[in-house]
Amino acid sequence: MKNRIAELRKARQLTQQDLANLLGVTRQTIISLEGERYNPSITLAFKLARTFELKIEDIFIYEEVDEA
Amino acid sequence: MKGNYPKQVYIIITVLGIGLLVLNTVMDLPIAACAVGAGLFAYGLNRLVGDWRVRHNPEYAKKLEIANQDERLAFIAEKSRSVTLIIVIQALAIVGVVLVSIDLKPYGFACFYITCGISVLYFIVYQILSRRY
Repeated sequence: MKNRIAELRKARQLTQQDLANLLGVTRQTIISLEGERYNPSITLAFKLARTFELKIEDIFIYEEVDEA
Repeated sequence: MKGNYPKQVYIIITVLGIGLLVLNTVMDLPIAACAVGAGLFAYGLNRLVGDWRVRHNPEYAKKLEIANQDERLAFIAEKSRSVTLIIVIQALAIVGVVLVSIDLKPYGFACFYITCGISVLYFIVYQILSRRY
């Protein structure tokens, strides 16, 4: 799933380690999230939303996959 | 550390490992006893060193706590377990076929029984978990 984590983090002048500390995860998890290789749980998505003071849908861009 | 036994358990494991290794030097123990001794010693010592680091290095303890709670690492561990299970089942089935074809039927059938047992166990666990979640 596409997301704006890197963009939002940079806008707030946070390092990946800063964001990891705020969320209580490892820096590797932030790297994976920003690289869109890992989709977070709903709990982590809410934590991200609260950290950035945004709604979840403002951070994650859900695109329907056409399976036809 | 989360999910750990008391330190004394790891001391006992380490001592048992050392005991087996020492016994192996004075007695003619089977090679398996030596391997078990080395394994126990390495495992016990590793946990004791880890425990010592957690107690004496707050930075390491915090890092470890975060790693224990990190959902991506938990996801990777779960994924690794499921992939390992698939590999084990398939490998056992293939080894079973090979053993039967080279006329080592009892060992081949043992592989088939284990494959079957793991598959049945998976089905049972799946049914239980599907009711729970």
